[in-house]
Amino acid sequence: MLSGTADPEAMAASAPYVAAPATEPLVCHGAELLQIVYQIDGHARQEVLPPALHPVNPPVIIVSVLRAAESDAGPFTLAETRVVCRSGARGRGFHVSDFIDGEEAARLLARRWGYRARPAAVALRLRYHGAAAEVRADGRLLLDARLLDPVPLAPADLRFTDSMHLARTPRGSRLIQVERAYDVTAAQRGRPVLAAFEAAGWGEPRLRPSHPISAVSLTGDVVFRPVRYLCRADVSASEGTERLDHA
Amino acid sequence: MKFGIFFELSVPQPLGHADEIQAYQDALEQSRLADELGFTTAWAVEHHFLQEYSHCSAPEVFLTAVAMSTSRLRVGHGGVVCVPQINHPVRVAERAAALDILSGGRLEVGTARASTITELGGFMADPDSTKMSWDEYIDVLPRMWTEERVRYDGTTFTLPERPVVPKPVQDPHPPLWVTVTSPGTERDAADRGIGCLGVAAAGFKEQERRTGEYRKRIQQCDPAGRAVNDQVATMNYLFCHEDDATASRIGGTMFNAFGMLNSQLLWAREVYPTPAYRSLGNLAPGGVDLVRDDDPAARRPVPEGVAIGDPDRIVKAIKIWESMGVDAINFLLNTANLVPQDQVLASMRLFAAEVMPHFATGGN
Repeated sequence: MLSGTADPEAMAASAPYVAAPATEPLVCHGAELLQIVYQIDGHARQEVLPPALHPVNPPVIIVSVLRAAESDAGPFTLAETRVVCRSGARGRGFHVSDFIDGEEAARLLARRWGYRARPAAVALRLRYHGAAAEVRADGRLLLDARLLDPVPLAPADLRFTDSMHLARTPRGSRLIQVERAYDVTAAQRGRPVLAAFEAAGWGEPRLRPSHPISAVSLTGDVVFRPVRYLCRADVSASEGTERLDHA
Repeated sequence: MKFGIFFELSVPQPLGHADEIQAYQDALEQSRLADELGFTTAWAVEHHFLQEYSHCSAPEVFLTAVAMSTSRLRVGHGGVVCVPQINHPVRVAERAAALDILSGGRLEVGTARASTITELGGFMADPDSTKMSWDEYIDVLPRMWTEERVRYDGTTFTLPERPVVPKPVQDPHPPLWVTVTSPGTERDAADRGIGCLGVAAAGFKEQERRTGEYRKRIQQCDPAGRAVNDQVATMNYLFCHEDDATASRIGGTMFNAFGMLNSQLLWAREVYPTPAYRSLGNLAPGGVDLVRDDDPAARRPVPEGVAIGDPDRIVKAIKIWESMGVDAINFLLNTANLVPQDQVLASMRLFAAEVMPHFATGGN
């Protein structure tokens, strides 16, 4: 079984500092989400992951844009990119980076859940004929993602992947397991198009989207759950998982 | 109770030609020994692109080699992928008939529809339509084997009138099965009068439910083929050793390794939401609101009923499967060449000597 080969300490140098992982949820009412799944070139599938995580075959990324109209941290729109992987036997997405429109939420998500949050203009538009999202920062178009030809899905058709966020913590560099719960009221699947994805701007130039897999949009409530697990990034999940006391 | 062997042909990473060749050669040797010892059937999966997990992408070739080097052992597709982009139904019918001829009527035809995006996406197959295509294959394969000329106007494929040749040896045709991983597939099998080929290790409770549902429904089946196959087979792991602790250590390693490889697969449902794949293939199904993948350090425990242990332990486990009405158990013998071949063969011999006599077997 293959494992990641990235140097976790080098990766963590630019990661947020999380003094205390979240013990309370962040509830987002009236949320909208667009999620695009793309296959990426396989040449670097091990190099973009720390040793604790295992690549999947073929390598894929999940690009998602979440708009929270109402939350405890105010309204915000969050765009993030994750590399699909495994932590032990569990399906996970390794958090590459994110852009966020909403200062208070940006601070909270970085400090409590380890989001690599950078400010940007993040737009999400869900319509009956499809969905579209854009991310612009410093005059650059970093993301142009679309869902075309939508067909309705039942909430039971959906499955969501939890994330692993590399952060600096008082225990050292750790992967924070970030779990989100969804109460979906409506969902659609469609044809995905990544018209623009500037990998270098997202912080990992080796991510080269090559083949579309799926696009999903949904409306509902989304909850960022309290953090329950930290994992060392340099050893496997069976050796390096730490359950938090409050969990 | 019948006992079979089941091949995924997993190969360790980093990949090397020698390991791949060894996996194939070991499997052939295991098949020859199984033939001598009284195992009933050798099954081979069909998977594509699944590095490490399964290098069995041309099972018809492998099964032909098994058939040619054995005399009584039946050979089974476990199962052939019934998706037009991967296997055109005419090619499935032709290859099966040829293998049935060459094996002297020893073929079993399991059917499947693939459950990873690695495979479906690699062939540009539409995950939404694989249940439909599977159903159409189940209808048309028996016709291709028994009717001189066949025409088919379907949803997922169309065939102008053609004589599909050759025809199989078995009368009316080889037994049909469907691989069962998702809850509910046993109902599909029963309704069509085809065998229920478990390819995921189910627990006692789930297997009892599955078998009961199948037995009840098949009484009122509308057979897809010319003959009803009403057998229920389950998949299991086998490592038999005189010392139970040694068996657990070696067999447990194989069991856990296979589970880990299985969990690394990229399931269709995971990245392509669709009602056609509401469960995760070989993984535990469940609703999105109920199931949380929790502790990443958690290992899959060796569940009750797995045939890893000393002969007494294995006899007890199989007695329970038997009491549930299971007709056959098919064993995975190794994972990625982890267990040395001499130990695999010794395990098979001990099983045949100490466990098989406790069961009335149809034999081969």
